[in-house]
Amino acid sequence: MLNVLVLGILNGSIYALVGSGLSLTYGRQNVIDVANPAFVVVGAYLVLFLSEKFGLDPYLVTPLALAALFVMGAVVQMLLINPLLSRPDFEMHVQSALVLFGLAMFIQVCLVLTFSADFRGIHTSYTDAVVRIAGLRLPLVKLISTGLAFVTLLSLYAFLTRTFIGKAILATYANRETAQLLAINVKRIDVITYGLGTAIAGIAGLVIALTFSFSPASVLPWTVIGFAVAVIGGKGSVLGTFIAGLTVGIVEAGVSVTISANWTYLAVYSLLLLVFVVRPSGLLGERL
Amino acid sequence: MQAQHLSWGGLAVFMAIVAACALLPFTPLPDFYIQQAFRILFFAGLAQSWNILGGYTGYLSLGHSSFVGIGGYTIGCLFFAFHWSPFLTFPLAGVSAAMLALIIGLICFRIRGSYFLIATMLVLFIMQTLANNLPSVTNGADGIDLPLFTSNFTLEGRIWFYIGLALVVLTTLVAFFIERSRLGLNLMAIREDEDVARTMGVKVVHCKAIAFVVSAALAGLLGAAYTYRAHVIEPSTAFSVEMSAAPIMMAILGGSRNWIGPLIGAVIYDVVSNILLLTVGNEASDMLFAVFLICVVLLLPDGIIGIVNRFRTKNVLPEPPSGVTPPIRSDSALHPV
Repeated sequence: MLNVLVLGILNGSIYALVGSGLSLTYGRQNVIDVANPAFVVVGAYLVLFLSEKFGLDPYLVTPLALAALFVMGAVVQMLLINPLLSRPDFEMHVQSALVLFGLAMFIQVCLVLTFSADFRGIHTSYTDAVVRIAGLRLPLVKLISTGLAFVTLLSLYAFLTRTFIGKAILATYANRETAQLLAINVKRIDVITYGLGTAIAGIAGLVIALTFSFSPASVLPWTVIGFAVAVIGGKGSVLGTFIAGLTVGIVEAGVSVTISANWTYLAVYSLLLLVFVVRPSGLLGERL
Repeated sequence: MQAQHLSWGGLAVFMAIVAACALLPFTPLPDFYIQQAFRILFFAGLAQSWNILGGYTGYLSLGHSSFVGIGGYTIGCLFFAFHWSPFLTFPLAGVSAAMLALIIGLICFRIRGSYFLIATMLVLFIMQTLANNLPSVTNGADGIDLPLFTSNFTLEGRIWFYIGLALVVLTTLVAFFIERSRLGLNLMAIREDEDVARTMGVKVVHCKAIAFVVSAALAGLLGAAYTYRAHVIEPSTAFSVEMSAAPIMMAILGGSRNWIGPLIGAVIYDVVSNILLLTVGNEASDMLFAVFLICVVLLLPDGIIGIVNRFRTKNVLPEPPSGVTPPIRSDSALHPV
């Protein structure tokens, strides 16, 4: 029982990390960001590539990867999303989803062409290290990942609530026109938000590279988990995302231990549908 | 609506094209093209059926292939369990898809916009998981093989060509009459602004449910035909994201505001993707296709029909003088120009 709970929390915090980037970028301005999970996988490959190229520890090359991803995100916002902003709402849903779906497809093919379609993973000297706590054997990398997820989400929360740019992001999120009246440059905030979401996807990529194996085809499963977490948590809410990530992790671990691993996805999907029916705006999102 | 002044004439042109196509098997055209044409016809029908909800109502369903899959699985499972001929169980595919749509509708019509999109995508994954995990009904991941009904491939190709053609005519007629009916106007009102539509007395849930069920039933029939044509059904291809995404792209490419767009879009989409696949190979064609998709959405928001309409209206309306704000686009869609 304790085992299941701990496993759920370890995986769940990683899911929360995957969902938090998405929670920032999706739903804002009617943009349905199906490309963010693709950047998670890009992050994983970037860390792999950089650490192999410089022969450095994956954690040390991560800042470089994050900077690269931030720039990529900013470019995507400027080139692909900005031209859509003047269109009516219902068209924005469809068209942003299509454009970003095209982008995700493009990214996936680029990854296949540069890194092949094989499953990869990062193997370091400490990959197999195990920590014993209270009779449980916990893999060291997962513990570090969980810590990293906590730190990232906490700093994201602090950034959004304590800094000017963070508050501007939340204000733009809540009401674009009003934010504009308050002399916030919403176009610049858009670019920063998308870059930030992409950079967080990069941290998630690092964590995934170290704890799971990944391939270009991993984009789809991570999209599902990312959206599950972001929607259950409520868009734009860091705390909600965190709770949702843990819930998904624990439900997944519980189902795979008690019933069968085949049914874990079904459990997660049903949980998500339940949230849709009971509270469409997510646990801590704004009411629609 | 722009469609109105070309509706009956357009339908006559469409019927003439269909009649011309029906003669194709009797021309010296190689059999290969007749066999391949089924794919285009299938996707034209699928894009048309998706558009009834997605285009007219503005509810973007990413789960359209759940209906294709359930249609296919209806005939597949009945054959697997009772050895009933897929030809006889064919109508049941539409019924089961319509029932699934009713159930999904009960859950999903409470939610709007991006949430609807994600919810329908979830339904797709749930269906796939169920098909994988209920081997007693669906034979699990191995899938179900369906019998050949003739070993004469030329004849088979022709039979499927006509079935495909019939399905395209069926879906197009349904879309055409919905578009011209009161229901169609209600749906378009919901697309433009659901709250206003409700205030004006449109029974929004009722209308959305009808559109969804009709759209799903047509997709179910198409799915049954597609499955029997392929002679095999298995979870990963029956409930695939690609199959869901394709009709959306086709409808957007052609123009999703009337029944002509999805047909044009499907033909162009299928021809372009096949040419790319044959000339530059798998990966490169996927990449070019992604770029193509992004460009179409960014540069042609109203699809190919949009360009045509722009030329048609250019002769009627003078360009607004410089310095005058041009009318908002959603406005021009509401009023006939």
